[in-house]
Amino acid sequence: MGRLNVGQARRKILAFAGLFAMGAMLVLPIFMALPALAGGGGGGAAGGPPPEVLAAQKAAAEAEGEGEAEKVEMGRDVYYKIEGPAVGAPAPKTQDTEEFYPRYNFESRVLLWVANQQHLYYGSFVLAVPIFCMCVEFAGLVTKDKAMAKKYDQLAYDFIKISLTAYSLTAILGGILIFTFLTLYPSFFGYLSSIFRPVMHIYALMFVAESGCLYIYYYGWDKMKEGLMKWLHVSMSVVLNVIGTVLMFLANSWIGFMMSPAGVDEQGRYLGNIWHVVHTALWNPLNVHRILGNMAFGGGVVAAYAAYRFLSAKTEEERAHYDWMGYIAMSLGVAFLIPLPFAGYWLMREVYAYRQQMGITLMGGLLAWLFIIQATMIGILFLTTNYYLWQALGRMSGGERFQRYIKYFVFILVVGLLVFITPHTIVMTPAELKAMGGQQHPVLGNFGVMSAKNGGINAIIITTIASFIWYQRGNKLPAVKWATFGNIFLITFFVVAHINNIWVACYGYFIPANVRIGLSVPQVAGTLSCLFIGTTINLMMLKGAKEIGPIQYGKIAPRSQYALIMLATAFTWMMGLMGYIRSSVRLFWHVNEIMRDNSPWAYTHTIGFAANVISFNVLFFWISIMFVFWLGTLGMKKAPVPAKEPAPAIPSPQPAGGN
Amino acid sequence: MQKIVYVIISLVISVAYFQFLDWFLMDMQGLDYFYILR
Repeated sequence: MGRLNVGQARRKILAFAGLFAMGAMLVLPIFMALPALAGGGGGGAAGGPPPEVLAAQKAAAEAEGEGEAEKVEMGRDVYYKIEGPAVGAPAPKTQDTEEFYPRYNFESRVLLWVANQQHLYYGSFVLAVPIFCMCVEFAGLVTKDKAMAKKYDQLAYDFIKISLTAYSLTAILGGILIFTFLTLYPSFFGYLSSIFRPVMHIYALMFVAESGCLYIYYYGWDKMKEGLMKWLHVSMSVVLNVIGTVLMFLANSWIGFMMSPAGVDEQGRYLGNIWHVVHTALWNPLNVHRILGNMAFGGGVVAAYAAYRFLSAKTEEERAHYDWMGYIAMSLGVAFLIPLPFAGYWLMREVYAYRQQMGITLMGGLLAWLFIIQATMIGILFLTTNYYLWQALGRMSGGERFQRYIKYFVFILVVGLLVFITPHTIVMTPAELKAMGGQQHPVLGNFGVMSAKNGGINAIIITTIASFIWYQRGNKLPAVKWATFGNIFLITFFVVAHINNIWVACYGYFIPANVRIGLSVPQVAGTLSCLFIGTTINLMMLKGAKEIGPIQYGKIAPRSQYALIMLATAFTWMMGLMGYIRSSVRLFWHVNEIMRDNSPWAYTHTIGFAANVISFNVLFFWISIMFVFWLGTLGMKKAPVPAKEPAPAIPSPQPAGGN
Repeated sequence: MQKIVYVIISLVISVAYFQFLDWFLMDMQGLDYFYILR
């Protein structure tokens, strides 16, 4: 007994020591960076002239007038509007020469575009999946049902296994990206790295910490499966995700700086405050938008993986497992997809607040048509999600009750989508213009404004939330005393939410633009109310609910799995599109209004060309991720077959048995 | 009869909630929700 206690105590001490080590690893980069940050980012480390040049300048100054106080040139921050010592070199003034833009016989921008996009796809995936993994593992840890706990744990393991191979590919693609920058845009990359040098070291250290955490987390799964060690394992996933998120925030600061520079003067000279360079006008909206986008994308890819495994499954058990996995991944992905348009609105609002012209270029000018494509993709995502949920009702007894109402949902979704994708102005020939009677269609033109579009997308989202609530109660009958009132209230609440959404959309046509712009906030809040209030009431009603029949995972129509694949592909395509839009809004600037792009490719591509490159990126990503999936399958085939089962003549893939 | 009462109660709560939400969030932004009536 005493020995057991000693053993337990030792394990506890080891667990706490491990936790302490993880915490120390987490804060290590901050300590490492303290000397640089204490010096305001470090004069020399932040892009100042080399030491020999400084020495020569000093000697020259001394020779000119000894005894005079040394002058420090001051600069005014282009964004924060405060003065600071100009410790960095000005942004290089580039020319279209080999010195500034060395090249192959191919458009350098497209090469960089592909390298960037592939790195981003994989980066998003490996940042999102550990977050899912953390949630699912935690769910497994706290659930009282032992069988479910085991299933959750297995699912979390399946998730992390997929991301592990992708993690190596992310690192390789990151290397390729840096080499592409150094080879094709050395002058621009030199300037950017001189500004961000102190943070880049933190980035590198965080990457090392993340790799360490990820490998311990994955390989320690079986060793840390019980008691305190399991909690330690889950807390390690928290550390892993904190590091991953900080990594992403740091990477976002670079693109934020390129779009809305701060911390530098108008010549691009660094003013000694690294926080100002990081914390630009668009940094936080980008952070929120990207984290939600990554989660939705990660959920989509895992759901597609599950669909692929479902479709290639050979046993009922395997099909059931991957059906469940697909459902969980899709739900997590869509949970982040729902707030994503709102984060997008916030980002756009901040873009307008930063530079109105930039906002107009995006939403009403050169890039506006890409937003129509984006709206179409968002519509497809929501339609597909609803379609999957309706199909999923088929796997539970009682789900058929809802079938007859689907047509009404389809009607709302289609009308919402058609309004959402209506363009404001159309590119036309003079004859077409004359035939239509103006730039805008006399009837449909009214739908091409934000009032209508906000109404359209909110109608789609409210309907999707209703589909989710249907799904939650698919095989259940509420048994609470107030069930009748609850049902009536839920229906009324959603109907009034729709009416209020339409009312606010119409109201926008009758008031001035400065008041109208504020209407999007209550519209969003109304939709989120449906999500939170509707789901909460529904869950309260389902407490102790009578089950009509069990959920039969694996008994879903295969077409639902194609919907999951469609969902993932649409996510991927839309991410590529939005990345292109965000990047090309800088037009002919490397760093907006600070460093001009003088390469031959400083023009905006045609929509057709951009769409082709995006499609290529999507195709390349999916071919490579299929390879990753295939590698995962190889690992599973090698898994030992349980002793109880007779050895099959032809080895079949083992679902959920990898660890 | 009971169902009709439930519908009326639900309608009152829902309409009041959404109207309050619209007014409150516009007011928070310093905007007048009842602009058209002024």
